[in-house]
Amino acid sequence: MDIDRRSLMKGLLAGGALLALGTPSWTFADQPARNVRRCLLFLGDNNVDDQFADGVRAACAEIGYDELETAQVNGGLLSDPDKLVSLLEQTKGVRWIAVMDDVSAAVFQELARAAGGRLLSVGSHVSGRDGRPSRHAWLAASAAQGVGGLFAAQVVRTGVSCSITESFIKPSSFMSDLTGWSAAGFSSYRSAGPEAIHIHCSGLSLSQGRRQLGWDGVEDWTPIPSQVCKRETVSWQSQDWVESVGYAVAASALGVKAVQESCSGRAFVHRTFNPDSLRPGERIVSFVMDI
Amino acid sequence: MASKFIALPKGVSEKTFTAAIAEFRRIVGQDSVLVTAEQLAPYIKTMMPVPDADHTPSAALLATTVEQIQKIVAVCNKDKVPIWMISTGRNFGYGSAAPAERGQVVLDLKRMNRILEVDPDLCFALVEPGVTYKQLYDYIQEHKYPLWLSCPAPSAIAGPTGNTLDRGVGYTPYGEHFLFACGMEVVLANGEVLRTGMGSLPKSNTWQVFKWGYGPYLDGIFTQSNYGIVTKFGFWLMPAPPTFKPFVIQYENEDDIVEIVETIRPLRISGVIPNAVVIAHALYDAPTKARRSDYMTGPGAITDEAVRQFCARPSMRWRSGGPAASSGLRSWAPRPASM
Repeated sequence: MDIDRRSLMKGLLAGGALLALGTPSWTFADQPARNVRRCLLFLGDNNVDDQFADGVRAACAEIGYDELETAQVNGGLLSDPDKLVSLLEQTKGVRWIAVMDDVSAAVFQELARAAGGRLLSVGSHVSGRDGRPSRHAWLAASAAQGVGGLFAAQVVRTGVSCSITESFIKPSSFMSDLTGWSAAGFSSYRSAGPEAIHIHCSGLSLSQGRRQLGWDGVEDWTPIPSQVCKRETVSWQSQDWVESVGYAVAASALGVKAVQESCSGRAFVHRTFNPDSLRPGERIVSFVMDI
Repeated sequence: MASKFIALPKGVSEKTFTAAIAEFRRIVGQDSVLVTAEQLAPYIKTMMPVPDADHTPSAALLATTVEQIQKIVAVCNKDKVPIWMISTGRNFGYGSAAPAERGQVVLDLKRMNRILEVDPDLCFALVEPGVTYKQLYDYIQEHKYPLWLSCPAPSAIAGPTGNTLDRGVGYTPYGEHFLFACGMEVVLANGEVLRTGMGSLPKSNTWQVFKWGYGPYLDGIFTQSNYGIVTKFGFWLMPAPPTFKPFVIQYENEDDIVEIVETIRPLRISGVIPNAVVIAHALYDAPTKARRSDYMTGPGAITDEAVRQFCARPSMRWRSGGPAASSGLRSWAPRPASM
């Protein structure tokens, strides 16, 4: 495994220029918090590296973050894990934004844990041929590290069918009052019980959405009142779902404060699709991790 | 009321657990007690088709000494806090670093990673639980010792202590790992330290040489069990053979297994084939060579017909045999390919 580490972002002046001109790059109900720290984009040598990186750079540009470093492995993580271990040791205190295949992801998570890494979010992504439809499952440490809402707000505008699930290890319902997420075209519901989950459906009914997610077992759902919902839209848009994942993951990693819902997990479903159509497609795993 | 922990041990109140965490911090240090979601998330992935939430730890403790472990065990006894030990945590496919039950405290021994001794003449190693195969391999290479390791399937980032204690196997004549274990140091549930075999004798220099010592043989009860925390582990290393000739038998038809087994069995029993022989289904290798969708679509398990189509490709058949090393006098047999 070769790791080609370089700084790619020095020329990204566009984002800074936007900010200088006062153009709002994010259109949230609340202003995004910017808590940018040193970030490394780690590309795990699969055929979607470029698209993912494009999305990450787009987010950096909008935020005006021009210090992103990039490391790319050649030959995969399994061929020489020592080089990854060295890079982990050299980047203590750095926030990693990473993408790789699911086999490499298993090794990466192990080596990062051994290096004392803290996992903010990990996303598993699969799509059908030509990127449509797609399915995304995130595990986030808490709602503060949630990526799903950012991603859903983008991908729904492409019209491509998708499902997004997100689980929070530390449920936000323990921390705050009831809040809900909202975007154009979505209807939102909350399950009963102390560790509620939310589901946001677009282009399909609640029952269709539950069936799409395999959540048929949960019966008791109530609509989330509109007064507790916060609208979340983003200005940047791509037709490529991998770019959109890179964008949403990077925005989250760079501290853009998305809507934090009062729930232990949530899902976004946009239009129905046959899960079997996912089988021939791409599979990738994304990470945000502090080393 | 909001809990400050992402999970609690079964039957332990938040107040009691908070007090236990405070004691753990006094024992191992503030930074070596992990309780936040970000710190514990890397311990949760099980790689099994079960909800990860069922295996969420309440905390992880990074111990570095036997004395710390003794004190941790004392706190756990006092407060009835269940602990789950990992060495490197690379038990891929069987839970990795995640605890068996939600709320258990993970005692992570990765920082106890010293290679205590490697004897090139008596061919043994004594290591702490956090030592990986890669670490030991590098050590052997650095010292130019003519010794071989028996590395298991989870790759060299796993370690010999955990693999052997979970009765893992490798692919050399030393592949039945527990057979080649020799001497353990164990912290028992009451905090006492036990050394098995000859290790119980003062100034013993045969701890890693003679398994049996005096009296009952105890090592087996510390494998696939929770009767103690192994803090030192001895095992034998294979002298590097002058030649090495792995072989694999590939075959297209499942029915051939009968004849292959009949052929290989006497060779294995007589020691002509010293390796563990593995018969592996064609699908064992399939993910590295083809996509499921090339052979079938739709839900459910891959059908026998799809497997037959898959096996029709010469490089994708059932395999029988195993990596085989040779002493020069014996020809090592193959290991059966995939089943």
